[in-house]
Amino acid sequence: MILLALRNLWRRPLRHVLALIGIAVSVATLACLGAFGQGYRDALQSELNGMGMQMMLVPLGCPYDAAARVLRGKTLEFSLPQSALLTARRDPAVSLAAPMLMAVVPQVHEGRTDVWVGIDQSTRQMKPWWKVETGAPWFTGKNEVILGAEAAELEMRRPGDLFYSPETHRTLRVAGILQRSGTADDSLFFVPLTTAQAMFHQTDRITAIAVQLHDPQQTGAASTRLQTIAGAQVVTLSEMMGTFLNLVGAVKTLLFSLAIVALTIGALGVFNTLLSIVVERRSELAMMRALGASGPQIFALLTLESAILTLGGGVCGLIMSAFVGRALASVARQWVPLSPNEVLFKLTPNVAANCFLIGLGVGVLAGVVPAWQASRLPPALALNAD
Amino acid sequence: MKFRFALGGCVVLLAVGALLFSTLGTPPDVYQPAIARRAVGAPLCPWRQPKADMQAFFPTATRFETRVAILSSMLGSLRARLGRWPAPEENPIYVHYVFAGPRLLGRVAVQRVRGQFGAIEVVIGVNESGQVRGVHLQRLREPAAISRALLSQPWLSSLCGKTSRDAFRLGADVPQITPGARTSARAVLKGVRSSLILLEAARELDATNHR
Repeated sequence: MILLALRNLWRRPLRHVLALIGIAVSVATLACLGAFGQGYRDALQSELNGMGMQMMLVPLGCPYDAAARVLRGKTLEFSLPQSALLTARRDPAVSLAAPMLMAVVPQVHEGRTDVWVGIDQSTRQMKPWWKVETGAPWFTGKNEVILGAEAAELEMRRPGDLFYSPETHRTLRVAGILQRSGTADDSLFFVPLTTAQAMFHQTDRITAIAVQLHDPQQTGAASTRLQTIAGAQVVTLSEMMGTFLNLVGAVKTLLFSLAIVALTIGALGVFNTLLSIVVERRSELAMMRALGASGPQIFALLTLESAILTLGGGVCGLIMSAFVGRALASVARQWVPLSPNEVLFKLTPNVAANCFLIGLGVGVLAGVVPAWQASRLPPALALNAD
Repeated sequence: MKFRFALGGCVVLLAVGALLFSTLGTPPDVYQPAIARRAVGAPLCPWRQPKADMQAFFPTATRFETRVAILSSMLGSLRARLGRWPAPEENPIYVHYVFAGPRLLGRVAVQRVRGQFGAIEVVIGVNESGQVRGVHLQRLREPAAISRALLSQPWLSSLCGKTSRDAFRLGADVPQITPGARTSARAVLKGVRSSLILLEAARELDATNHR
């Protein structure tokens, strides 16, 4: 029966190739989407794990909270008091709490945005992979700056050079230049925490505290305790990941609907192809019935034809997605919010199998109605032929 | 049937005509589209205020076009003229051709130099004889006193008329500047001289290509 089905498909090559292309494009679209989703999730997970922390303490930033405070005539706080750091460090579950003070100074007409980050030794402990390309590995004085690789290149600075901040009127000496990491660190200016506090008039204030736990299993309990620090809210790594995934979710939904449309078009292609086969081969199928082929056998033959068609389309689609997917992912990277630096396209066996099975299922389902019609053709029709 | 075909044909022709007019028939805007059409990749050091600089260097200018000059065939002569090998950002060089209508008025180049307290971006405009028409420091992070000295119009204007063959010694060929600003001023002069040499090389390359 397989040979007969193949021979039947071979009789109208152009029509069948077109139906096969339709299925292939649908499966490729699905596979690209699945692989992109998987890749994004994995890359984000690995990037967040690479941050060396499990949670972050940030100032209360909920817009409802801000509105309530304004309505009550209270001022808004965009930073934490240094005492929050001491409280966090005292928590039994916390192994390391690294404070940071971040200040962004945009100079639109000059096309530059200086991002200053005040840090202390604990940040260095939290980022053991931080490597200094040239110069000292850490500040030797308070008026020193460590530059990210890109920042140093842009400002043409080398260790020992002077570096001036026109907005804060402060001259610093470049202590070291970080190795290129492909992360945001590359374009930042790192200064000692106390220097940043003095530069931006934020004495005893910090923007955030990165928290590393002794045991990541204690995240829940530690989060509940740290949440009690006045003016602070805890954002755990999984919450951060959830937020990022939500951001991508909207784009993914749109793309998924496109994939559904592509899949529907592919299914309609198979449906149309098989229906026209049934119409064209009415007398032939009736002759088969007259010669003793049963209705279920005709049904099986037509279903086999649609299965072969979608099988071929599925394989072609997976091959297509493997070739095109990476290029598409690199283009899509520009529009993805908070895009991780790792590979965004991961066509795992699981994703490939799922897409292949979906394509196959939809294709075979699309062939059911024409096959059913063919199986009900009366043998008497054969007598009308010619 | 024939009428329907004719009507359909007219509609298609109209649509194609409208599409062609919208893409080809629009007169070019004065500044941006020229870059968009010829963009080969973002230059390392962009020209940040083209409109203002063009008006300052070439008051009659109406538009500019950015082209990339690959100077690899002239590396030997460039080394002799610059006194060093060209830096990676100097080859290829982005040359902005400034026009008044169809007439070429001059060229503009942007160079990033190592100031005392940070990078300084120098914009230089030259006319077709290779003489400086104007110099603008579009980005610098020097302390206020040094910035004031470097940005002072008399000092920058003293560079006008200079060519790549002129000397650029501070205090001798170019007016002296306040002591604190001398390191950065020397860096600016070096940048101006390098840009003049590179623009001259680009012009020679243009002439060779025209021949």
